[in-house]
Amino acid sequence: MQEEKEFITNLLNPQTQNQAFQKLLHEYQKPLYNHIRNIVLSHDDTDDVLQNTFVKVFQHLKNFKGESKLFSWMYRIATNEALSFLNLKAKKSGISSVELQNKAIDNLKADIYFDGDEIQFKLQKAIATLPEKQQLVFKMKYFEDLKYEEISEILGTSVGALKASYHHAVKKIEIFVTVN
Amino acid sequence: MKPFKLEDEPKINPGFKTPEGYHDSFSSKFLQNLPKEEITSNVKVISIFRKRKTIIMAIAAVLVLAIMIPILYTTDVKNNELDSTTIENYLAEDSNINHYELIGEIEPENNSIVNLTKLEDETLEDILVTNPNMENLLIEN
Repeated sequence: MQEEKEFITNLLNPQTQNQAFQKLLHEYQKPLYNHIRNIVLSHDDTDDVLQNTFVKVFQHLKNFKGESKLFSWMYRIATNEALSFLNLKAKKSGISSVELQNKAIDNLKADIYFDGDEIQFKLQKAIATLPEKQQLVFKMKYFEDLKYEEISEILGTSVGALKASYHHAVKKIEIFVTVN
Repeated sequence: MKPFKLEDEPKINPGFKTPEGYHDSFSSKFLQNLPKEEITSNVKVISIFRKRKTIIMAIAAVLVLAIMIPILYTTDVKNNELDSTTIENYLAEDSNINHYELIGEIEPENNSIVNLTKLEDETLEDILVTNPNMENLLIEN
């Protein structure tokens, strides 16, 4: 915690901020990319959202009170940015978020940055049938290997509720894959 | 058909790839495009709670007024009742005021007793005969 405070001080100090921000990018760029990619699916969209996320982190760092961990704060920003991006894109296209997601999954087969086999593709289709919160919990737990305590800090939901959400998500996915 | 069990299957990864060298170039590309002054600039931040505070105060003021209206109304009615009682007591107990002075205070157009002169003699006699307080009135004057 003390180390994190010192790191934040370095980020805010004009003399050390460049080096500190490079360290922040180095440390969080990959996990945040994977987190956003799991939500928005396409690489180009992920690149946009990731940049927006770091810009927001950069802009609001001076307001970061340290009430939560830097890790969960950044994940929260990334999640909100990704969801807002999808909502805005759906609105611009004149379709619902669910339709947009189904369209994005259908596009995966032609995506050069997706090399998933049949079961990976089916898993994505199964995830798309879940409610938004269950999708997030499943992706964060199953794909990103985050602990329930970490997900709880990011999403602001109790660990018990997250476990229940994950359990329901797994059951629905298993039924979907078995039937289809 | 064998039911699919996620736990029994080997871990399935999402299957996403990134362009070659993407992560290596991202940070330098991002830092180049980032405006330098953003961290240190003192942009005035207006707290959302400040706005809420004003709204809460306005609601509180309206509530106080709404609560005060029935209280004020009740007090006003009580004051009027008290005044009427006081006046009645005053008139009943104060012996310095006689009936003629009281009659003199009542507006002439609303008072049939003041217009006694216009009454017929027979009517006047009837009033005097039927009035049970006549003797008292005569004694008083």
